[in-house]
Amino acid sequence: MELFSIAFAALLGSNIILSRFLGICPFLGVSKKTSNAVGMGIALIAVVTLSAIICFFLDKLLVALGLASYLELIVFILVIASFVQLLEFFLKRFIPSLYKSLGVYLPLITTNCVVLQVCLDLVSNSYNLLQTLVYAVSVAAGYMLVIVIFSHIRSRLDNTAEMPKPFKGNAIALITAGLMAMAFICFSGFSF
Amino acid sequence: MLLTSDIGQVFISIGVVAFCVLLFVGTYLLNKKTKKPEGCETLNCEGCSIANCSHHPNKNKEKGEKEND
Repeated sequence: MELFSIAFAALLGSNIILSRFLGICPFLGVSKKTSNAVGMGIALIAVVTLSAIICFFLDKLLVALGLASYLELIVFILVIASFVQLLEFFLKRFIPSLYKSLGVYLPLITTNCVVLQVCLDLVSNSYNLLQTLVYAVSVAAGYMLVIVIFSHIRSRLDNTAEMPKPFKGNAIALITAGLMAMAFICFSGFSF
Repeated sequence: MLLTSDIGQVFISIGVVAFCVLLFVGTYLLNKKTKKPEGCETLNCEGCSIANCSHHPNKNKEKGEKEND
């Protein structure tokens, strides 16, 4: 039940985009086409999950060395950036078909603050390995859910001829995101 | 004894950060030197309008112009 509670909160109740306003740059930038949003979501699930597992063990090491309190942030940033580079190299070399399908979204994830926040959250909440895994997958799946829904709405709005000129583009996108955030507030009332 | 002292902690911290920086530089160079698979040479992102980004289509145009000069 505790795992379900963690998953529900990360997926819907306190969604990383709509409740905590993280990862907004790719949320607005990559949501013009649904295919792009799906690509970004899949790449994010892979990177967030793997980097959370790495940071879980890294935190244990830093705690053992007595450096966790002031080195966590800088070490996590560098390790996540290195991990994305290594993953890109691995895909280029050994799985070119997957590299082709993830395309440019893999290097773009380095700048996504969701990855870092998940690592910091698992440390501050003192999650064990299973909870870390569930939390990381749920946060990334929540990100993908919201960005895909948003891209659907956005593509329909962009094709609407009656849209007033001042609202076109980013203006209506931000209004839509605000309305979605209000809609998602209803999930925060659930408790398990 | 040295490892638990304050100075020892400072040296360990510098060592850990230096290792992480070297790890990043190493993986960056490794990734940069690896050739992209066929069909992925010019992957562009038209998601946002930040023209300074290395993935923006304008960057490839600039590279092409420099090579022609």
